[in-house]
Amino acid sequence: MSRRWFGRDDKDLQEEVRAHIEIATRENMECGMRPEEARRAASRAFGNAGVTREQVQEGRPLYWLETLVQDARFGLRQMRRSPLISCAVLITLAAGIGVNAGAFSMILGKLFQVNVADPGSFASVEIVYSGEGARGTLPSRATYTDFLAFRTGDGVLGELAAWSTTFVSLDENNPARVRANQVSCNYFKVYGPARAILGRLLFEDECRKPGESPVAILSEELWRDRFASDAAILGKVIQLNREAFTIVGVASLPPGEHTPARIWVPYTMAPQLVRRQDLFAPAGPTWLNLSGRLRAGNSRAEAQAALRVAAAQQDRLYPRRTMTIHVTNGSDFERPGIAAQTFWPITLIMGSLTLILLMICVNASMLLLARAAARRREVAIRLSLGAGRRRLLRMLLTEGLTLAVIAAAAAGWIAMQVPAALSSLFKAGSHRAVTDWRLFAYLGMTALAAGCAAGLSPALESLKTDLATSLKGQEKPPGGIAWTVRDLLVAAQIALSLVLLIAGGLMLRAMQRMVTADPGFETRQVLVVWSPVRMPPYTRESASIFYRTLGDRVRALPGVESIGFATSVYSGNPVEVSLPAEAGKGMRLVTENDVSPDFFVTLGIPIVRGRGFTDPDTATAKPATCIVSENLARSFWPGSDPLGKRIEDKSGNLLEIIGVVRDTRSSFLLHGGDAQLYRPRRPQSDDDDLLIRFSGDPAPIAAAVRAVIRQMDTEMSPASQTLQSIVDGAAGKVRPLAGIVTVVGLAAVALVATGIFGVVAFAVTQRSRELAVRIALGAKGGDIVRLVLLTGSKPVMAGMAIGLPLAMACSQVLAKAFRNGDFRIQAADPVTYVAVALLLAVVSGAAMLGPACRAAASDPLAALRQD
Amino acid sequence: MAREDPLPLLPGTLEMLILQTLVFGPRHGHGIATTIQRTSEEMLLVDHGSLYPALQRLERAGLIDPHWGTSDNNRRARYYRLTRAGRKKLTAETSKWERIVRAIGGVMAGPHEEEAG
Repeated sequence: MSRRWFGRDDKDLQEEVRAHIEIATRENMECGMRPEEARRAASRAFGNAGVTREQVQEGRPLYWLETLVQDARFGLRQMRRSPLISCAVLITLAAGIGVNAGAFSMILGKLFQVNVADPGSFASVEIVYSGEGARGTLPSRATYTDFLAFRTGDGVLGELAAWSTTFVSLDENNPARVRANQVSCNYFKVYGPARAILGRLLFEDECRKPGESPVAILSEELWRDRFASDAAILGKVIQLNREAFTIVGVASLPPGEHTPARIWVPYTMAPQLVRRQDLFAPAGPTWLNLSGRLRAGNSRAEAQAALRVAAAQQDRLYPRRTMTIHVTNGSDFERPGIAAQTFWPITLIMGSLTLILLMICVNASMLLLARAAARRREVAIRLSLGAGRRRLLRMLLTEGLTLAVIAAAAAGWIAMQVPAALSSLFKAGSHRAVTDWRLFAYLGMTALAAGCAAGLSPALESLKTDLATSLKGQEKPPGGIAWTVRDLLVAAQIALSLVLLIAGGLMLRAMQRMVTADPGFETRQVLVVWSPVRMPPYTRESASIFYRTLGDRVRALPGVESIGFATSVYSGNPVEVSLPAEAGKGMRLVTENDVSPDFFVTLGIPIVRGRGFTDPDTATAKPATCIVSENLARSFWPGSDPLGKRIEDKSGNLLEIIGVVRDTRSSFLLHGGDAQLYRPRRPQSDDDDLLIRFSGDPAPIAAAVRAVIRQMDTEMSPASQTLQSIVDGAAGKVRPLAGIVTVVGLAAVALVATGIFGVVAFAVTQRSRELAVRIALGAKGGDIVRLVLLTGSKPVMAGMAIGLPLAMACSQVLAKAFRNGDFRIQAADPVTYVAVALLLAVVSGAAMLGPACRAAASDPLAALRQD
Repeated sequence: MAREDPLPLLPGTLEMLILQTLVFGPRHGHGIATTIQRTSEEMLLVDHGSLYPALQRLERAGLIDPHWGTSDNNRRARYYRLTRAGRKKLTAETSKWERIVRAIGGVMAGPHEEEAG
């Protein structure tokens, strides 16, 4: 059987060929030749025995498999022969493929999976409202009445649970808040766990009437951390947002819970926690997320159809809005409207990782190429001994693939580690990475592509061998302008790294601008206090009185220098304004903030022209007044005085400019960098940020302010923070990202440096004879160094020329991708471009210098005597 | 004696020639080559580089059957014997070859007659 498939073994064939030649020799001797002569004549008559054997073997059915094994073994032998190069190639390939595949598995997991138990029957109900209260095309939460309608009207969903999340304080004196999920009482039937660790889960009748069942279930984590795993905790009363709740159970975290909570309470207690009374009103607010379980044998499509019927009935009851229902498996990928949001981040992550992998392939290619070139003589011998070029090409390709296969095995391990490492870095991720056939298919394909990419150019290069010169050991130096494969690879690598580094540099610059740049106002000595009043107990009048009193009392506190109010310290409202003359067409988007008169003093934003607001300047005064930032003034009235000029807002109101203030630059406080429009705050505003300029330490001021607020309204639990701590918090959030960008950038630089070093070192070895002749003819060391650097920098320059437009295109894309983010990227940032180009030039110069100096210091006689 | 130069084999005929030489009993590779050369009066030269792959093909097709035997001068050699399928194939190939020769011969002779007529 094996003979049928593999044919004869090689020994058998060799024996037959030997017999042939021997018999021919005998016959020749019988014709009177001398033995020596007879044998030579017989061999000559037979021709190249190796070729014959090769041809016979190629005729076998499983020949390819046999040679594959041979080639793989050959590849392994080659790797053993140059362990350093092989290790370098293996490690970089494994790391590149591994990280790439790991990120891929995370993205798959994030997008396509939901981490619940029994995901097959899980159903997430996404509602897109249109009409009144619509939030565009993004899915929204449900109103209580809609939830009830879906719940009673279903036959397809076995369970439908509703939940909403909020933060609560556990303790008056500890401002830290923990996440509490307000859930319908069948919530645990949908998400699990099946039973509590201690006590019980929620009873169905605890969700019957709003406000009647103040019970809470603690998460195991909270129980351990805050209650020291107290076994007698059941029945104890805790204060959540200063409301008494009785602890009835302790449970482990439900797997796949969308917002992992520390405490669960019946959603009927939400009015007490969030102090809103209208939650259960008909056509009330949309506040409930809906997830359920399919009844056995039903599909999500059936559930969706059933719910759409119920939704149509609800729409008839509440005709001012319409619902579109989507029943999904709960993964991000199936959420309506989400694809557009995830497109850019995924493109960026996979794009940069693929760029790195490409660079690694190029690098591996160069290393293998150097080895292949060093093996030219061997290849030439093989060719002249009758190896077919196709066979040889396959052999060299298999070598690259063998490397890739080994690297893929290691990469598999790395890929498994990536999700854990990344999620610990970002401290997030209830999402499980996908580790099924899709990951392995991706891994395999990436490895295959990488192996081919790494192996192909060396293979092609070695087949270009000119037999005669290679055998004699005389390589023609790469002459004049001719480009070798190596030069092209260097150019490619420089181009790739240029793209990567410029993108990374732009991101780092954006982050740096965001974190350290002077925001254009005081941050350390300004405290921002949020104490929103709840409208049902408060009316507009009582709210504005509350704020006015609060302002007066805080201003009187010792250590407080001034106070101001603004719509938001994070961002104002984006509004469109134009010059009155060109209303409708010359609309420009600016950021509007409604501020109190002392706002500019409090934040230390200098007024450069005109005056600030005074109390008579209110939004209702005629003519309406406004203050603009310098860049807004510049863009509307370049070169002329804006004072007294007017602009028109979208609804046709004319605003007279009474002052110009310095620009703010922080990209996430006050929406700096944009054109700013300040309008006077209405005294009856009810939901503004209070800003306090103080001297000395913030802690006592914050405590005093809290005491003032408590005194005025015991229900309120205000939060306060210095502006600087907001800046620092944002900095902490981008730090991991900055870390990743830096690591990727460093990897790129290291790859470029090693790649260029390898290529130049090899070129120098190859040209040693020529260089020796030059030295012998009187070239100085400096001349040699210059010569090597010049030839070496040719592909570097070319790479930059190719990479620069690519990088520009990429940064446009980047700027577009981060258009709405916390930090904004300036695509045209000459500093980054110049810095990256310089960095690459210096790194490649340094990488070339070593080999160049070695060439200059070499002894010409030794080099010439080499062969 | 003036000798003509040896001819290259017509493509596709080597297999047929091998089968023909085996009609009179098993032979080894060298034997097959010399028989072809001798019987063609040294006009056909068998390239050994193609002889063995051809033998391999015939063997795989089941037309010849190899076995190790001893040569005239006591050397162990691999002998090839014609199988029943091989004989059938040879008969078919022979008649096909004769038809080709007749047809080509007719064509090559034809134009002269027409010109004469």
